[in-house]
Amino acid sequence: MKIYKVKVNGKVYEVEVEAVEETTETIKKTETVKTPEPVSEGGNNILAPIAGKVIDIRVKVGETIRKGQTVAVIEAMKLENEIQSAYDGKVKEIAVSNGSDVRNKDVLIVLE
Amino acid sequence: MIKEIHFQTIDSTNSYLKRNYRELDDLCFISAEQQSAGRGRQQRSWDSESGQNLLFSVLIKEKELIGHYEALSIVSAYAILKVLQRYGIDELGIKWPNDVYAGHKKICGILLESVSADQFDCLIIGIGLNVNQIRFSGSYLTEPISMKQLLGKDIKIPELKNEIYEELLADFRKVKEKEDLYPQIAAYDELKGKTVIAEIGGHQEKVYVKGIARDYSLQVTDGNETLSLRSGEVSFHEKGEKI
Repeated sequence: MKIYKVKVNGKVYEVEVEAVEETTETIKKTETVKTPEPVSEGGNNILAPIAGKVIDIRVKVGETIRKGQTVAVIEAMKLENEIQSAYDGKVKEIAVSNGSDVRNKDVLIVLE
Repeated sequence: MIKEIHFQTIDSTNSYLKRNYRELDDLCFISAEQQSAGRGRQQRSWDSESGQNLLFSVLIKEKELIGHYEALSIVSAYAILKVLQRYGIDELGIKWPNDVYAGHKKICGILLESVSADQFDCLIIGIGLNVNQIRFSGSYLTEPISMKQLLGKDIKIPELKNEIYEELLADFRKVKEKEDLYPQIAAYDELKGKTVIAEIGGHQEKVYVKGIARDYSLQVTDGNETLSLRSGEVSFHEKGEKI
């Protein structure tokens, strides 16, 4: 810590000056990771988050469903993925059947 | 530090995590002496004598790790296999996608489950390892075997459990860091070179297994073309039993 005298507009001020070390931070590149895509997009369609086989459909056409309700299960690589609706709504159409093979982002269920 | 919640009895450690994952920490383990509704793939029951086996699930919430779910499935089997090896068990294999076999009998089953709403919210890896049980009643798709049957002695489950937790966490880190575990895993491919019955496009077909591929799918051929299996059943043709 050093003390300097500084004159401002004819008035002298004592100023304490502290030496501060400059630091250099390395910004790490963020790697893009393959994360499963959002399940519900493109209106109120419920989409497959992964490719696999539909092993359970837990809703019926005309049924009113709540946000968070499990609507179907897709299996891939022995991973059973419970798909929940991101919306409240009424099931207008079920686009797949039990045993169907689906691709990532295929429409599973259409809501009104 | 390992985070674990242990239950005397629970319906299923996977089901507990599906109900409670929002409030629980990433990489939290749930174990139980007994499961009243333990299950395997597609709601098949998984029976276990109370306190005789190792039954647990681990919760993964970190999105970066969840993105590697295909690797985590088979890497979990590989982690168990390495611990069994250290206990002196040999003739170990991984039957795609993630069962652990000892002497061509099933010693460990793994079931992955996930919950997706707007995105993959969590990944749950449930593991059942036959430890000290020596009688298996009921009908099984694949003949079971336990560590005690193979080693002729009781195994201390708490020590075994800690060793497995550590091994899993270490291998999960390797997956996250993109370490290549494929060559080690492929060396334990139980199905490679065998003729099996596989479910392809809703039909059962006899195919020859070329082996586990780098993306951890199963490469099979019907003699004309090579197919890459990512789901469905694969059963041994010789015995005609589903696995």
